[in-house]
Amino acid sequence: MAAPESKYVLPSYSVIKCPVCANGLNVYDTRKSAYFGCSSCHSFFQRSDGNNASLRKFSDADVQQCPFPLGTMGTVEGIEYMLVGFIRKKQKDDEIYWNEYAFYSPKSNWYVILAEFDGNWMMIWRSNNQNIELTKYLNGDCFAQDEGVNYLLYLQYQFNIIYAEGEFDWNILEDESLTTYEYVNAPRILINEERNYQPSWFRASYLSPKALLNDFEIAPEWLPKKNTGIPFIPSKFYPRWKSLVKFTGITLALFLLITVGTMMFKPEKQLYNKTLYCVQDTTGWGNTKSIITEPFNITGPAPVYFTLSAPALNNSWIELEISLINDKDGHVYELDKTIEYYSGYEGGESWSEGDHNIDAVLSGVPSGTYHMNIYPATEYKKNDDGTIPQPAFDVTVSQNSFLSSNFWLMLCLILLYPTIQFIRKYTYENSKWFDKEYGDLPES
Amino acid sequence: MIQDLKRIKYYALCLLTGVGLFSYGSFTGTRFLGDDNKNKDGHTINTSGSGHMGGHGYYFHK
Repeated sequence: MAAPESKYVLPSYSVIKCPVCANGLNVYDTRKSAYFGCSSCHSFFQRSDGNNASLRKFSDADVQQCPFPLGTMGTVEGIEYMLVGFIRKKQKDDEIYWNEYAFYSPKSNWYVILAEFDGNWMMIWRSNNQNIELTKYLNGDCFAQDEGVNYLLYLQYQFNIIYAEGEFDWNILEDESLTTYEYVNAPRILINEERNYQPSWFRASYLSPKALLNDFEIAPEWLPKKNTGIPFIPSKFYPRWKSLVKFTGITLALFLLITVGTMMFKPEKQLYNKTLYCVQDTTGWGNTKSIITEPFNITGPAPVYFTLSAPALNNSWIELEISLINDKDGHVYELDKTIEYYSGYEGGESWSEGDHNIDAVLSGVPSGTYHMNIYPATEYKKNDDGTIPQPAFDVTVSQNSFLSSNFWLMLCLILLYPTIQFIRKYTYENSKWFDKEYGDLPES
Repeated sequence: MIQDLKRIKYYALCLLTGVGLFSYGSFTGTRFLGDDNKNKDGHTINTSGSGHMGGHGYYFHK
């Protein structure tokens, strides 16, 4: 590959030919580099004496050229590094992609990796401590302890390498068998790349674009655009998240099935609907004559829904005490509601207060024949002609009405915990990737 | 699936209880919040005194 001419880029030490397209690739680590990705034909090959062998041809659809020229320099803790390899990875079981840049120091024979996801950067280097203790708690949380600091296990995944260019001193394709675990104590991360149950520990720290431009000789225009959305797909964040989403989905489906089934097998039915009048009672102890309705049948157990309305009511009130009585055993359900509505015109503005309609629910009413005793009460004001009005009100009774409060209560119960977890993940990811200062430096 | 459930066993238990209660409420017509019945003690017309029921003497229809 012919590296772009730039003041930031170091010249290569040697050139190797691609066995597929015969393109010349720059080689910076001539002693150890044995695997190469060709940016021209997108082949990955192994150097061997006299015969370079192609190991894989990357799909053209997955190709994303390295935005920085190979040979780009950087300095970390006074040690110079140069960019020798670029790898694009994809999470095995999801559409999550990220890029990794391998920087090599010939002097210290040491690698650091810059990982970039949606314009957010992290620096990764091999940990000196490879004997990190793991502790698993009963609640399922798993911690890694390093230098007295606990890191919580947040992420577990495997990846495929979908594109690579540059040189590597190991077969990066074999890394596809790794299982990666990320333990987080923001802004630091411990990464365990496990192969056949053998751990290999790395440390990582978040890198702001400012720190990146300061420590690596990268031109600002080379940086990919930073995505301000949710950096990770939430379902991949916590180990429990996937189980949570799956179980919540099943429960939601069950819940909706029960709701629809109930509506189908116990359809709503109107039992009573009549306009009634308040008639002043001058003989009894109450101010209004009580009303006794004709009987109606309830097929229970069912919720019984009352709609009480007085559309003509204005600047007055009607109190309705209703007793629903089982004609056979005398069991009484009682409710007390007041319809009140006031309106006027003051200071150039119209105002109103109250409502012409009011609802009530009696739940779990068993089957039987019922009637209502209605005890109205109201304020009687004489009309201009001296007559006393008889305020009207409508009573509608129906059974098997949709119990919306039960529905919303259950929906909240189902979604509460997943919502809390989602907010935690969202908050964490944002704090993980955005506005972080440069963290730990690599161990020397 | 069992392994998945183990990770969220408390949430799963809570949710299954909730679904059970919701099913019970749906099939018995029980409203968990806001039942307007004021006769919580379940008095019948034959046993309730007029004082207890707010001054009204119940009229049995039949």
